[in-house]
Amino acid sequence: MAETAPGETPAALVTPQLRVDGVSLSFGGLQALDDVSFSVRPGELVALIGPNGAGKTSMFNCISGVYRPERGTLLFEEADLVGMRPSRIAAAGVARTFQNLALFENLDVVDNLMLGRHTLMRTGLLAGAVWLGRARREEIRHRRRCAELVDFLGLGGYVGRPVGLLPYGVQKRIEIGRALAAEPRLLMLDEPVAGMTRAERDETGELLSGIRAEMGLTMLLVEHHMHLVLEVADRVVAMNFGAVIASGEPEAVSNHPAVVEAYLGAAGGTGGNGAPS
Amino acid sequence: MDKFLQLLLSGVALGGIYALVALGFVVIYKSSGAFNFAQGGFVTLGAYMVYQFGTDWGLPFWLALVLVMIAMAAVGMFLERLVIRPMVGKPTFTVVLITLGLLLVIEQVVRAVWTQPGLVLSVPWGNGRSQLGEVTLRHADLWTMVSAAVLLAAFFLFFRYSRTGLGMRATALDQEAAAAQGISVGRSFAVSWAVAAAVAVVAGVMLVSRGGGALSPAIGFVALAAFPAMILGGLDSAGGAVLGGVLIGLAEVMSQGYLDVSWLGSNVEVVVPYVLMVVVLLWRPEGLLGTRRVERV
Amino acid sequence: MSGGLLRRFLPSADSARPARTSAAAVNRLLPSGGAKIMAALGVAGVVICPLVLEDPFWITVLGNAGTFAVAALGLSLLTGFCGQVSLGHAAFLTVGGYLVAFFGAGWGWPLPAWLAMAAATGAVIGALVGPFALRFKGNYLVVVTLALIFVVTHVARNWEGFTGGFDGISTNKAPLALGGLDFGDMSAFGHRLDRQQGLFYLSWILVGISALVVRNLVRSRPGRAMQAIRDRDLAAEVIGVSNARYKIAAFAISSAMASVAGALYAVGLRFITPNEPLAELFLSIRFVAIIIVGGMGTVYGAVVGALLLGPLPELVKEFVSYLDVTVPGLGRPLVSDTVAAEPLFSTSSFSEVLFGLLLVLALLFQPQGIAGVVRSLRIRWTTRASR
Repeated sequence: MAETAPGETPAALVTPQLRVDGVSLSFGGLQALDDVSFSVRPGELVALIGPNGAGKTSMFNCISGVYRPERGTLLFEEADLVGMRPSRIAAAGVARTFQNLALFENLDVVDNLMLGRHTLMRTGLLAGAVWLGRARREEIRHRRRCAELVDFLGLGGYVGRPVGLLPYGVQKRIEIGRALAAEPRLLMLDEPVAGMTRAERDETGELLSGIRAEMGLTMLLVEHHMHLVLEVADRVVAMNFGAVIASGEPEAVSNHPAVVEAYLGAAGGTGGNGAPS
Repeated sequence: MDKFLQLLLSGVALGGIYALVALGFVVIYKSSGAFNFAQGGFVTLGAYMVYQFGTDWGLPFWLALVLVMIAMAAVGMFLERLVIRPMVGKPTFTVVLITLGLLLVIEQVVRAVWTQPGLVLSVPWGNGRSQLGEVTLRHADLWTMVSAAVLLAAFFLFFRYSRTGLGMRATALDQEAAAAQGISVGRSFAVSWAVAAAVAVVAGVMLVSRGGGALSPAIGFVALAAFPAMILGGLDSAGGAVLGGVLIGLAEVMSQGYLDVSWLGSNVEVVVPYVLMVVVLLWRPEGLLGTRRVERV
Repeated sequence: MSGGLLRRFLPSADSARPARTSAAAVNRLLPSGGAKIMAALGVAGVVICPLVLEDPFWITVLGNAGTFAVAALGLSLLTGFCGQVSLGHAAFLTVGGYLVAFFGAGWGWPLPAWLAMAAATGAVIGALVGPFALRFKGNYLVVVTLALIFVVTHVARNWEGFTGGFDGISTNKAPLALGGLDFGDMSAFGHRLDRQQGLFYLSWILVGISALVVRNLVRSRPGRAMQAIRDRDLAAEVIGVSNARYKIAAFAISSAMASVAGALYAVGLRFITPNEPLAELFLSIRFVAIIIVGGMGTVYGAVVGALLLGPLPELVKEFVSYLDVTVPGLGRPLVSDTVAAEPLFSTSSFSEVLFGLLLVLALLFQPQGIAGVVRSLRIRWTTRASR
C-alpha cells in the first residue's frame, strides 16, 4: 500500500491525479488498447508492466497526446486530455521520457534541459530576437535552474557537447533530467533502465527513489525489470494484449496467475526477467 | 462530345509523359527514400543522346534507343557510385540536395555538348496521325501511352516478384534492417539508379516526339511537373505514379479546353499540377495510392 | 544523493547560490572574446570597404554579397536551425523586388516604409506556407515549396497592374533616404559616396540586423524550440514545443529576410523582370549551397557562404579572361561569353556548374561546411594549447 504520511487524507478518498477510463485504441485490425482503466493518485508511483506489445507504450502515447484514443476518457487533474495537442498536455503538467531515447542530439545538456522548461518560460519571438531585459533575465534565471539540475544528476562533465555523442546511460539520465526540468505534476518514464548495465540500473533506481522522496512527484512507470518495479512502485497495473489483467500491490500482482502466464506465454519475450541479472 | 474525347486522349497522352518521368522518381524513391531531382537532367540527356546515336550518326532508331538506354543505365550507376553511395545512412535530404547539384551540372553539360540550336530528333512514327471518327490520334501519343503501360507492367512484375525488386523495397523501409537480412543496400541503389536513368531515355524520346521532335536543353523542365504526379499518386507506388500523371495531364488539358481561366493569366497550366498536388495532399497526405505510415516515438 | 539540490530545483524552493556548473552554463550565454573580436573586425571591414575600394565593380559585388547574406541568414534559420528544407526561397526575393518597385519606386514610399512592407508581406506569405510544413515533412516539403516558385513566377508574369508583366518594372526611383541620411547620395569622412556605395552600407547594415536577430533567437527560447523541432519534431511537441507555432514562425522570419533581400537586390539592379521558374529554382538551390558551404546551424556560416558564393556569377564573368583554358581534344575554350569561340560553357552556365559541383562536393566531403573546418581547427588549437 502507498505509504500514507501522517495527517494526509487516506489514499482511497483522494481525487486521482490521473484517471484513465475505458480507453481503447486500434491500428488497422490490431487492438492496441482494449478498454483500459486505472488511476494514479497524487504522490503515487504506479508501474505498468506486461510483455512486449502489451500496449504500455501505446498507453503512454495516448496520455501524452501522440495517439488519440478511439474511446474512453483521460482525466489529468481537472483536464480532459483526449484531443489535446501534445504540447498543450505538456504545458498542463505532464512530462515523459521515451523508450528509445528522444533527446535533441545536436544540442548540449543544458539546452536539452532548457527545452524541458520550455512551457515554464515566456520569451516570445520578438523578445527573443531583441534579447534585452526580460528575455535575457529569464534565460539566465532558467539556465541557473538547469545548471543545478545538471549538478544534481552528476552531468557536469558533459556540458557543452552535443548530447548525441554521449554514452547511452548518460543520455538516459539526461532524458529523465529533461522531464524533471519541466517541474511536472505527473512524470511518466518509459523503461528508464532498459539497456543499462547493472550499476547504471542501481543508480537509476536510487535516482527514482530520490525523486519520489524529495519531490513527492506523481509517477507512472513502464518497466520490464521486476526488481526495480518491486523496489519503487506503490501499485502495479499489469497489461497483456492491450487489456488490464491485474492491478494492485506489487507483490500480489507479480504472483497473479494471469500475470505469470502472460510472461511465460510470451515465449522468448524479455518480460519477467526480474530474477537473475 | 468529340471535343471531350479529343481532350481526354490528349490529356491521357500528356499524363503518359508525366507518368514516364514519375516512374523514374518512384524507382529511386522506393530504394532510397529520396527524391531524384536529377531525373529531369536524365530525361534531357537521354533525348539528346538518342538524337546523337540515331539522327546524327544514322543508327536505326530502335537500336539507338536501346544503346542509349544501356549507356544511360551505366551513367546512372556511375553517378550513384560516385556521389550517392557515400551518402548511405545520411539523412535523405542530403541525397536530395546532391541530386539538385547534379541537375545543375547535367543541364549545363547538355548545353556544352550540343551547342547548335534547333536540333530535331527524328522518330519512326514522325508526325503521323490517324483519324478515329472525329478524333485525331497522334502516333506520338499512342507510343507514349503504350510505353507507359508496358513500363508500368514491367515495374509491377519487378517489384512484386524479382529478388532485386523485393530487396529494394526492403532497403527503402530500413537500410540497416535490410542489410542485416543480407540484402545489399549498394546493389539496390545501383539498380534503381540504372533503371531510373534508362526509363528517363524513354520519357525523353516520347516528350520530344510529342513536341514534333524539337530538342531543347530545357525539356527536363517537364520533370518539375512530374513531381506533383508522383506525389499525387503516392510516392512509393508505380501505379500511383501513372495515375497521378494521367490525372495531372487531364487536369491541365481539360482546364485549357473548358474553363475560361483567362483572368488567371496565360500559361496557367504550368501552375495546375502544383495546385492539384497541394489540394490532394491536404486531403490525403500519403497520396492516392501511397502507403500510410504510422509515426512512432 | 544530495537532496538539497533537488529541493532547490522545485518551484517553491528559494534561489540558491549557483554551483560551479551553474556559472559555466550561464556564462555560455555571453559572447566569447574571440567572437567579439571577429564581430569588431567585421564591422570595421564593412565601414572601410567603400572608402578604400575605388573600383565600382567590387563595391557592387560586395554589396550584392551582403544582400545575399540577408536572404541566406533567413534560410539558415529555417533550414539550419529549424530543419525545414525549402526550395521556395527565391520566390520571396522576387516578391520583395516587386514590392519595392510598386510601393517604393511607384508610390514613393520612404525607405523604412518599403523595407517594412517587404518584410511584413514576406512574413505573411511565409506564415501561410508554414502550415504546409506541419502536414508535409522532409522530401514532401521540398516539392511543396517548389509550388511557391511556380505560383510567384506566374503571378509576376500575369498581374500586369502590379508587376508590369513580362516587361518588368523599374525600381530606380525608390527613395533611399533615412531621415537626413540618403544612401543614394551620402558622404562619409569627407568622401562623397555614390549610389552603389550607399547601397553597400544599407545592405550590410541589414546583414548586421539580420545576423543579430538570428543569433538572439537561436540562443533564446524560440530558437531553441526550432532546433528541437529540427532534431526531433515529435519529441519536441511532446515536451511542450508547439511545432505549429515555431515552424510557422521560422517560415515567416526567413521569408521576411528573403523579401527584404529581394527588395535590396532589385534596387541595386534598378529594375525587376519575371524569372523563368527554372531560374528561380536554380536561385533557390544557390541559397541552399550558400548555407551548406558556409556551415548549417551557425550564424556566421550563412554570411561567409554568401560572401564566397553569392558573387560567384559576377566574379566568373569578370575574370573569365584569366580562365583561358582550351579543352584538350576539342579545341574549344572552357568558358567564354564569345559565342564565336564555341566555348564549352558560357559564364552563366559555368557558374551554375560551379554551384552544382560545390554543393555536391561540400555534402560529400565537408557536410558541416566552413564552420565545421573552423570548429575542428579550434578544437585542435585548444587541445594543443592545453597540453
